[in-house]
This record gives sequence, C-alpha cells and structure tokens, in this order.
Amino acid sequence: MTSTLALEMLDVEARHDRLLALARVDLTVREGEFVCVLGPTGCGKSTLLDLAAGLKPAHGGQIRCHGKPLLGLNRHASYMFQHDALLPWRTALDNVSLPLQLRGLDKRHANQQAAQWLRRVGLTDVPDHYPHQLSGGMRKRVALAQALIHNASLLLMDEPFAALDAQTRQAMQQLLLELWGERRKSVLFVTHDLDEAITLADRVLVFNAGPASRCIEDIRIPLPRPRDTLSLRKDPESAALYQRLWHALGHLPPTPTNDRG
Amino acid sequence: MSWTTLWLLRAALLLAMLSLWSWLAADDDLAFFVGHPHAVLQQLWRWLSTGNGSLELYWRDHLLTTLNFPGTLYPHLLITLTETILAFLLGLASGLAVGLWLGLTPTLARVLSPFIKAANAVPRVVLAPLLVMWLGLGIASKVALGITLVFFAVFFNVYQGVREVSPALLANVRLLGANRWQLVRIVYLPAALGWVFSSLNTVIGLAFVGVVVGEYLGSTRGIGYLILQAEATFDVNTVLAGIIVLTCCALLFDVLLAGLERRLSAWRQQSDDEPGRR
Ligand SMILES: Nc1ncnc2c1ncn2[C@@H]1O[C@H](COP(=O)(O)OP(=O)(O)OP(=O)(O)O)[C@@H](O)[C@H]1O
Ligand SMILES: [Mg+2]
Repeated sequence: MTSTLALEMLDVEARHDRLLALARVDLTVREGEFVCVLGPTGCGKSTLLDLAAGLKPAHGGQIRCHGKPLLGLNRHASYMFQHDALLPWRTALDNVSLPLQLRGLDKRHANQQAAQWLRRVGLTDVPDHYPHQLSGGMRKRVALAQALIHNASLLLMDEPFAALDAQTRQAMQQLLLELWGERRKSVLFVTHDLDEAITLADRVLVFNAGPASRCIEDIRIPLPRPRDTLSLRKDPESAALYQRLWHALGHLPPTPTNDRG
Repeated sequence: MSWTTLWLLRAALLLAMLSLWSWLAADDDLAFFVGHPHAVLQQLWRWLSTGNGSLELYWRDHLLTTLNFPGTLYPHLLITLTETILAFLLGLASGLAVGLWLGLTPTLARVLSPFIKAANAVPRVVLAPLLVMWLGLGIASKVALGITLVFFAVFFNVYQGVREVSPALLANVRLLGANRWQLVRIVYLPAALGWVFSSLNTVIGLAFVGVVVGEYLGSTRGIGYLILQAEATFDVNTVLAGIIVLTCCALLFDVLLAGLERRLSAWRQQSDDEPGRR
C-alpha cells in the first residue's frame, strides 16, 4: 500500500438505519492534495466526511488514513461541521483556543494564539462574544479558526463558506489556499458552489443523487496556482471545467448566452 | 409607563389591600380568622425586640458558645436559614453528582429508572415523621427533608441536560482531542450546570419549603415551630407574622440569587432576543 495517501476509501458503504446513503465509494486523497466533493443535496457528502473522521463506522469496505486502517476516531483529522458545533458556553476566543488547551497548553498562550487566528479569519471585535451573539457567518469563521488552529494533517470541511457573502467567502478561500500552500495539508472539502470547487481543488469528485450514491466522476483541475476567483471567471479553460462539472452533476450544459462568457 | 407611575400604582395597590384588611379586621368575629394588621406588626416588633434571644451552639454534646440576640425571632430565623442553605447546597451537590453519573452511564440509568421514578413519586411531606424518627427533632431531619425535594429537581434536570447534549458538540470536542474526563469537564458539566444556574431560584425555594414544613411537622426551633405554637393557641396574628417573616426571607433569596443567576448564565440567549436565531 502506498504511504502517500492521506485518505483512502475502498468499496465503502454507509447506512443510516435502513437507508443506504453511500454505496461502493472509492476515493483517495493524496498527501497535500486538495479534493472537493460535489453532489446534489442529500446524496451523502456529510456522511462521507463523518466516515473519514471516524465518527460513523463504515458498513462495508475499508477506510485507511496515512496507510493505516481507520479504527474509531480519526486522530489525524480536523473536521469543520456543516452545522456549527461551537460550545455555547464558551466565548469565541475560548472556542478557538480549545484545541490548544486540550493539548495542555496554558490558557494565556492558548488565548494569544487564538486571538491571532481570530484576526486572520477577520474577526477582531468579537473575542468575548458567545456564539449566540454572533451572526451565522461569524460563527462559521470561528469554527474555521478552531479547525485550523487544531493543525491536523487532514482537513475535512463541510460547506464551510456557504453562509458567507461573496467578498468574505473569497477572502476565506484565499486564506485557506494560503495556509494550505504553507503547510501542505490534505483537504477534503464539500461544496455546492462549482466556482469554489474550481478555484480551490486539485481534483473534484462528483457524487450522484442518493440513495446508494457514489463517486461518478473524478475530474482533475489542472489550472495553475495561485488562482483567484475573479480572473478565473474570464478564463476559457475554467469555463470549460465549469461546463464539465455542471454536466457531471446531471444538468443540461449551459447555453452559449450564459453570462459566464 | 414611567418608573414613578409604576411605583405609585404599586404603592396604591398595597395601600388598598391593607385598607381592605383593616376594614375586615374591624369586625371582631372576622378578626379571629384574618387577624389585624396592627396586631401583626406589634407581634413582629415583639419578636424583634423582646424575649429570650439566646442560641446555644452544640457540637455533639459539647456546648461551644451561646449567642445572645435582642429578640425571640433571631435564633429561630438563624436556624431556619441555616437549614435552608444546608439543604440547598447538599441537595444541589448530590443531585448534580448523581445526575452526571447516571447521565454518563446509560445502562445503570436504565436499571435504576423505575426506582428513581418511584422515589420521586413518594409525597415528600409524609417522609417527615420517618426522618424525625431517624434523625431526631434537631436540624438534621429538616435538612434531610429539604434535600429530598432539592435533590430530585436537580437530579432530573441534570440527567436530562447530560442526555440532551448535542452529538455534534461531542463529536467536535472528541475530534479536537478530548479524553473522557475532559469531555465531562468541557461539555457535560457546563451543559448540566446550564440548567442549574438558571434555576437556582426555584431550587432554593424548594429547600425553603422542605425545611419549613419539616419544622412545622415536628421541631423545637425555627420559624415553622413558631407558627406551629401560635396555631395551637389560635393566635392568627402570630401565624401571619411568621408568614411575613418567611416571605421576606424568600424575597431576599430571590434577589440574591437572581443576580448570581444572571452572572452565571451570561452565555445563554436572553429570551427577548430576536427569535430568528437558534
Ligand atoms: N442521522 C441520520 N439518520 C437518518 N438518516 C440520515 C441521517 N443523516 C443523514 N441521513 C440521510 O442520509 C442521506 C445523506 O445525508 P447527508 O447529510 O450525508 O447529505 P449531504 O450530501 O451532506 O446533503 P447536503 O448537501 O444537503 O448537506 C440523506 O438522505 C439523509 O436523509
Ligand atoms: Mg451535508
């Protein structure tokens, strides 16, 4: 078995009670690779990440992380959930510093680092706010800071930027790409936004509609990095990729009059 | 409505109620049942300023010290307050501990659940004679009765709080590297304390009721005992004075704990927030 795979799923099956959500999923994420997952709503993308995080057992097949079979929780993974999982009784700052405190770092240093991370995700004014005092997008960014400060080798992200406005989303994408470039994490990133997938990914996996959904297309995104969303919009190669992804998702190809020129 | 009008209206209402009371009390036959405001005030004053106000503090059979107060009421009040606070603290601690423990060990909880339900169904007041037989007429039996009330209220809510912790929260904190003990400290305990902190007021009310009823059913000291004595001689004014003292104590607890509650529950969404948010 090659040891350069951060995550490997072989013939994996996942059920929710009697519902077969995922069937025969094969998937690999190489070390340092950025992989996006696209698929219609309810096809099992969140389920896929739960499997990768070891929160849910696979009902068939095998999952390997860094070459070793995954048993129980995945200690190499940092998971940013689709619905936020911040502790309501901890302030934004305390939520972000939690991973460091769990590792035994003293509170003062942990909070210093956490404050830096909050600044990086663009939240300077709210360290002492409790989650219920933050907007949906702010909570997402706190969760992002928490996942990033954890600094695991495999980042699992479930529609992390879905609740953000276009500008903030772009800033967050750039931040993620920067960090990814610095630290060479492996990323498995779920999104519904084709542009986002094209901007971020090395590879895009397209899942078909559930139940018994699986990976039907594995599309490489060979665009040079660094990329930025705005210039990609005018790039013909990216437009072609967009069409391919759109097609793969089962939609009609966009008409020539489509505003993506 | 402005602040002044509000308080003026309240004062007017109080005055109206007192007038009605005086008017009813003018009739001697009725006064036997409803007492008289003036006589009640006099009784309160007598309690505060005259009579034997000494309180002997024992440890086992050894006299530690004797406190002397200017009136009969003080030692009784002190006893009742001590009992209340003890019942509150002990009931809170035991309810919290057992609630957490059973919440974290579902199998044990399943085994014990019918027994707990049965224990909670026992009308607590009927335990009083039993507790007096076991623990004597002193403060221990009153504290025990208060604890039986406080314990179950705290226990059930802590248990519920632990069981209802969102799985996503648990999953997140576990993935961030928490071991079992950290999980208890960081997730379960705060989730359980959330309820406790937001209902300290109710809980101390329960302790108070348990203690006073205990005194009333058999004791040698305490406000409940004063009321019991007065009742035996059909002295309605003294009974009313006792009730007023108890009400004042309850209000005092209320004010003290409301402030504490607010401070400890700062992370909670205030109910008057916009409803759109979770
Ligand atoms: N806890 C659960 N119990 C039962 N069924 C579930 C549970 N979680 C998910 N499902 C079902 O499994 C399927 C896949 O759900 P999942 O949340 O993985 O979809 P998704 O691809 O993430 O969708 P979305 O894009 O809307 O987030 C859905 O049909 C859903 O109804
Ligand atoms: Mg999902």
